Amino acid sequence: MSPGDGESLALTAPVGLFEADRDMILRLVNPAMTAMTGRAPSDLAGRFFRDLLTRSSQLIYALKAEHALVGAGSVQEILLELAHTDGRPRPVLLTVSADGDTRRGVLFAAPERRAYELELVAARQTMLQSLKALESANEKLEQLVADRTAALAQRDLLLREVYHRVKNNLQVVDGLLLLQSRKLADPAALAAIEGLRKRVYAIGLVHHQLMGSANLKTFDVGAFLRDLVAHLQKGAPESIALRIDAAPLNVDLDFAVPLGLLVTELTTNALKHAFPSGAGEVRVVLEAPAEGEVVLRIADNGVGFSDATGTPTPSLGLTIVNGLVRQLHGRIRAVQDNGVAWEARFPAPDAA
Amino acid sequence: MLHRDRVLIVDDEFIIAQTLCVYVEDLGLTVCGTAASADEAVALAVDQRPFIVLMDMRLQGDRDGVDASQEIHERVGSKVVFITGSREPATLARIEGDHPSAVLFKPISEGQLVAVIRRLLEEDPGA
Repeated sequence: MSPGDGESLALTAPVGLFEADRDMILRLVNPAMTAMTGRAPSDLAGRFFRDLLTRSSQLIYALKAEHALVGAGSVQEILLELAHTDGRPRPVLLTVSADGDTRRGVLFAAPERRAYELELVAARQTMLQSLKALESANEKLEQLVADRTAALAQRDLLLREVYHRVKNNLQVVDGLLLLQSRKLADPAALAAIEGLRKRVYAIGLVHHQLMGSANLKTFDVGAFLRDLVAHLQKGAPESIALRIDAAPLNVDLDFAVPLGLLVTELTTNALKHAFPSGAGEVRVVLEAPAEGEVVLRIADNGVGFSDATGTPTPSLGLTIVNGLVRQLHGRIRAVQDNGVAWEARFPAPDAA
Repeated sequence: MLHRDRVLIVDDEFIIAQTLCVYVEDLGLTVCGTAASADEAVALAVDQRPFIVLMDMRLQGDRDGVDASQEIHERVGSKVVFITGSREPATLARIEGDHPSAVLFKPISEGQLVAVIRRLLEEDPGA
């Protein structure tokens, strides 16, 4: 290669080439520069480079390029617009390198790049708008969630309040029964009222458990039965022991109330009839042996049924027991074997 | 000077108050009055100077059982047995902060109440 080739390269290059001083006053330009600016070389030499730019590009040039040029003397790929004399701006990429006090520059026509940049700017705008819309929607959603959460909390509070009031009212019912019983002398009447008070207590205990339940709907039947049997034990003579063995099982109001009444009924029945000698044991067992099944067993070691055929004597209590078992879609039978053993089987409540 | 045989019953539910009266009288003690609000309770306590006060948490008016109990504690010195249906931690904390002699949870049985009253009478023979 000879030095002359370099000159012809510059003459025919499809990019604008120029040489300027450290203040970026143009000294030498190639023909492409004329095509890009619409100015003859004589009109270009002696001009500040920035005078070739559109007003807005001059700002960009001042912001992005000037500092670097004064410092290191080089910039890379600054997208600018040349103010062509025909009025149509030409997008170009400017790269300048320093050679002592001389600045050597390239102007690369970049209409594609400009179009791309415009697209990007438009896309960014759209995205920012979408983002704003999303943020606004999100705010509304969060407010909605907060409102709903508050409403749910309020509802839970009211539900707890309702259970509390029901429990209170049942206490009032118990109080009325007590006050009435104090006016009676007949032992049968007193016994009848005592029986009623125990049943009311069982219902009240269900509401007590509900009040303490996390979801205000279900609770452990084992804990409930242990509390119930403990209460029944207090009303029983010390010589009769009540034992409870209950598996943990989540139940709701609809299962617990009939079950509680059943346990109350069968246990008090045993207490009344099984132990003429005044001593003995009643065992209450609740099991969930298989998926979907609940078994309740109440067995005493007392004297058994008074009927020779080994069937229980008809009574209000027995009517209630059969009715409640039916309500729970279950079956119940009594077996006489060193006392009386009741066994009831129910489908497990759907509560879980 | 407190009257060991006197019990003040504070409950805004008439029937409940009556049943508590029955239990107290069964023990051979005297119910010196029943009150439904904190103001009434304090007035009766100051006037009758009972050894024991059975105090329900919920009362008529703005002040609750703890408010009444604090004032009775300052002015009379009766032993206050709180009765509450609630297991809310906030309520229990409030009660605990007021030096209760005992706390009973509704529903209260005669046995529970008798045990507590007997204990309070035994613990402090020379009130």
